[in-house]
Amino acid sequence: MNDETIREQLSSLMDGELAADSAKFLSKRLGNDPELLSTWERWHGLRDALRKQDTLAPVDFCARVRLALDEDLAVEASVPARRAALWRTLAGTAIAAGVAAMALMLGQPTLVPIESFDAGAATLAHVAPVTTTDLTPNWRLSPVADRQSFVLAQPQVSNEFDQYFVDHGLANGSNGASGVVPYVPMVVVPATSVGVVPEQTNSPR
Amino acid sequence: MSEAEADLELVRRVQAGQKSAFDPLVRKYQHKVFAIISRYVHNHAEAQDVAQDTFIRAYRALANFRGDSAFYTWLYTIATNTAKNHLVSQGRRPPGDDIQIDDAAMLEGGMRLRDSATPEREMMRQEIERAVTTAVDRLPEDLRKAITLREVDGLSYEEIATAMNCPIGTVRSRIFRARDAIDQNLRPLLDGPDIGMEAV
Amino acid sequence: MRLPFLLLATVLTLLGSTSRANESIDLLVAAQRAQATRAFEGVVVFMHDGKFDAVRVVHRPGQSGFEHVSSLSGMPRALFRDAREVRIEVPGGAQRLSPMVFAQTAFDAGRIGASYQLADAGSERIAGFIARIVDAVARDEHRYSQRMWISPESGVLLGVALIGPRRETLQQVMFTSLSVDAREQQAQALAALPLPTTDDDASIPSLPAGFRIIATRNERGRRSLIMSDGLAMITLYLETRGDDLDRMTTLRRGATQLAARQLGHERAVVVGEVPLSTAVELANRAVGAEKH
Repeated sequence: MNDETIREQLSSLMDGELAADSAKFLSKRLGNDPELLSTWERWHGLRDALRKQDTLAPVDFCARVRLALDEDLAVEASVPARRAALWRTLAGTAIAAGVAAMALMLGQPTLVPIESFDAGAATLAHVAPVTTTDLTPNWRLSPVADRQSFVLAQPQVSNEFDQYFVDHGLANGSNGASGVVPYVPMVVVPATSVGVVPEQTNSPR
Repeated sequence: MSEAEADLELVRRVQAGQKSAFDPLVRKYQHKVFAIISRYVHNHAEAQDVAQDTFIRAYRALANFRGDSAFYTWLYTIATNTAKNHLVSQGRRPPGDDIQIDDAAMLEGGMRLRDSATPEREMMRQEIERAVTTAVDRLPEDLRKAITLREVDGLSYEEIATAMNCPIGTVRSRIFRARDAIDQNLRPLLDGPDIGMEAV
Repeated sequence: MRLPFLLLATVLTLLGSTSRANESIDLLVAAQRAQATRAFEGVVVFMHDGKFDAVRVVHRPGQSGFEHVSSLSGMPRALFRDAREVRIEVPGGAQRLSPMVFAQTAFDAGRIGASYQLADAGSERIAGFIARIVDAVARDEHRYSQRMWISPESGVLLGVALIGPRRETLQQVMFTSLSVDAREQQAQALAALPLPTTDDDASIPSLPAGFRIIATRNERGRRSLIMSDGLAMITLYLETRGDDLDRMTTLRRGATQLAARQLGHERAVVVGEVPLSTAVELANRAVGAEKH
């Protein structure tokens, strides 16, 4: 039986449309054929995407479960510490700076007195430097993240309207419901883009 | 053999000692289990732990699974119980209302925000969804219709054969070729290096 | 008299829902208070347009308080604000602006419920702090939903995400490292400025549902009307221009939309963290109203 026939049977098995005998044979093979198993997993991922279901599990989740099962069955002991070690062992490169930065969790978990910050010297030249080691990531940009950057960010600065953004941002930052959050976009290099104009009304309401 | 029966066949193999037969079940239901867990546990790293726990518990309990219910129904119960136990052990209150099995990906009583943990994971999900939709749109008409009737409308092969006025064998072949074609398009996206890996 | 079981269960469920909504309101109120009473500083990650940027934030509350917000990625930019001035700095230059004084806060616990459904969405650890998650789900298409992460201990807002109608994350700001002062300062009372009256003002267009004007400004030949629905903020700029703008112009920066419309010499520019359609409709109405 050639590869294509097997995969066609796999497709039917996935839909519950394979004859019982063939299904039994294929089920036996499925557990022992890594390539077939990968195809099975990818096709189910496609199914989830077509049905608009959340696809949240990481790519290597199954491998982690298998390793955890092996470990669990080998040694009957409390799991949490070893599971943490398992995650660390399996962790590879991250997908984007923001994820890595969030995962690093550099903050202190308790409140501490904050004594001084020289507001008068708060110019760029005197801002206390945050070294890159603070944010040194253990990551590489994924192809997906790269593609998103290219597709979504189309810098097209319009100086004429920048001031409106600035003024609104200042109002929002000084009195908005989100505290200092509105100031954050104002110091990031703007990636202004022209939006799609919805159908205009001909007369005022 | 129906899907539920195919699941049971794999379960029987595991019960008979073929541990590797559990893999296809994990790969088939990993995303659904994640979706269920995520409704209770919002932190993605924790959700991974709880989802892993779910499958370990399911594996351990498989010896006692008699097949009175569908495997997924049984797995769903384990997932929700594992998630709730996790919340209780963390000193958190589980939500008051259980999520119905048929609406595991939706929420009752009005809109709620998606519980995916990270923006880039949401972007990746959207990217994959967009790529799949594009790949389907590029299929020849007969393949596109067959795969849509199957995956989106949930029709059986017999029903699709009636709808498309062709033999069941042709339906089987078209659905396989559609899956294969979409898969070839998406393999670089899904199998690329480091996608889905996160720093710990 | 014993209540029928079903009625009792319904009442308890409603009370539970109400109780959870009240807890969410309490957290939002705590976040507003923390802004006025807590010193904090740290690094946030700003996710927008498929990109991530890191920004350092320093906040000191009170009359002598200030904010210093500086970019850690990309081009160096910084913003400094205190009671006397606002300074936006780039290498080689700075823009100085006057700070704003408001009659009323944009946040209004009493009005939020009309425009948003509040929900408790559990807890997470953010920058080492336990955060309670509050969802403000938009009740209509005129505004975005928001998810907020708030420290129940200090009230500090640890993260905010703006969510679109298809549940897509439009932008997200999240602390990744944070220090919060253990000491809580005295909250300063807002100056008792008169609220702008708009009932008889024919130049004010009808506002998007749920929005109310909280401040007005006149400067540099431009009138600004700042409005809020209790959570989101929109600014409407009205001015007379010598140049032309012959079509509706829309721009976007992150989740902030801008819609500009001009008829003759009268221009209306709307800026806000709201759907584009809301901004466009308001700009159109504003220009029409100005013709009277």
